[in-house]
Amino acid sequence: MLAPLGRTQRADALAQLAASPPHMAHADAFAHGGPPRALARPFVRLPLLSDFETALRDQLRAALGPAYGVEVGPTPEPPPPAVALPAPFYEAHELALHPEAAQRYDVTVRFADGDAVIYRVMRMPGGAPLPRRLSTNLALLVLLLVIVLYLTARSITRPLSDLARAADSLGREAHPAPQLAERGARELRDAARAFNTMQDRLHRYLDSRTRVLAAMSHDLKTPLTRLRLQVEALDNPPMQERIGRELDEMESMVREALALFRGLDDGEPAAAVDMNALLEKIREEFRDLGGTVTITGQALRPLVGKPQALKRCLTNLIANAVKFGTRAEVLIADGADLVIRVRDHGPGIPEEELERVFEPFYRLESSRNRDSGGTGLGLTIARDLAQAHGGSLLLANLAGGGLEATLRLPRRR
Amino acid sequence: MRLSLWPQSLFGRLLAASVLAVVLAQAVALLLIAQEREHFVRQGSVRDWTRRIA
Repeated sequence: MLAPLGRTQRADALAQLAASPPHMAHADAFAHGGPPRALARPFVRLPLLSDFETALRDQLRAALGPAYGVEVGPTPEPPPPAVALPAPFYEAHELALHPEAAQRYDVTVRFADGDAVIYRVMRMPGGAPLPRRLSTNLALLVLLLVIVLYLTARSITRPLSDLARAADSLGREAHPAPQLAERGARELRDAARAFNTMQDRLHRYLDSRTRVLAAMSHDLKTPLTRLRLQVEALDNPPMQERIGRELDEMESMVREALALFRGLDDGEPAAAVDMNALLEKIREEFRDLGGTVTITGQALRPLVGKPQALKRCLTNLIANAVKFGTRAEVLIADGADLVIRVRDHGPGIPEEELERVFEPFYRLESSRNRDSGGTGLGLTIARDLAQAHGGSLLLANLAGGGLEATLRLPRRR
Repeated sequence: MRLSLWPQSLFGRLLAASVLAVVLAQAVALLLIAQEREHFVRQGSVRDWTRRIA
């Protein structure tokens, strides 16, 4: 303590304190009799003390007792003479490296006899720097966690992707897809198991349906053929013609129904189909039968699908357009999906019937006559085949009259 | 097509959310460590200077 010392001894003690630490080159410590020169200048204080200033002031007041006045604040400009105190070792290193960044504080200690001594301490602003090793370790920890998270997220989502793929391919392929692997979390295993069970049930159902239809086909064709022979033996030509038409219609219905039910089970392999060539071929077929078909636009590249199924789908649409609208206009737009629009200039379909016409054997009142023919399965089959390709088929009435069938076929990515 | 920084797939969202959470947790941890370290250094300096002055 400097208080019990006389003024001369106090000055000697301060000079010794100033000379003692090795890194006090900046020290301009002094002590002298009478009020120090520094005190003649107004002591600059910040309106708000920083935490550091408060802590140092409180601790000094507690250590020195009430007999001493203690003030702590940033060093004013120009700095008054003061006793420079060395920084503790953990701050000294940073201060030695960046002396220009050091922040100076003056600690004024007033003695009871009116003398005052100013001590100057230096700190690095912004607190103690973090060691580079810590930042590197934390970055490595983040990297490790990201790897673990990546693997975890993948293990969760991969079974879901497999399930989505399996569900998407269900019904598209002629043969049942292999069983989905039951792996991952319990909920995912349950979902995979449920999907496998559903897939089994569906395939069993489709198999039995195909077998029944094959038997029906055989059983129906035989009596129809027998009937036709009996009709030809009739000697009443008008009656013969009427029954012949009925038989034609029955045969057509059986054929179309079989085509519809066979639908996805035809086993036709998928291939790259040149849609431009396919449409051209259909156009030629209709031209031979007296129908007019115009084609605008073209597919930019082949579409992966079942050639016969696609041909049947398009033929049904164009046949409807030619039948009810005298001629068919085909518009092709290629992009993410291949969109084929088939337009006619017929009477169109009442709005409330636009969806119903896709129901099997459903026919509009206007087409329930002998001239228009049809079994009510053409659009059903066309939509069935479009959906088997992952696409869609929609009908809409045109503003200027006529009907537009929009076939949208996605390109496999 | 709408561009979005937030992933659309479940995998992407899981990963993005987890990585965000980890980075945020690490940043907060770094802040807490820095604060604690500053507190420690300041207390040490204050004690040291108090001892020297007193």
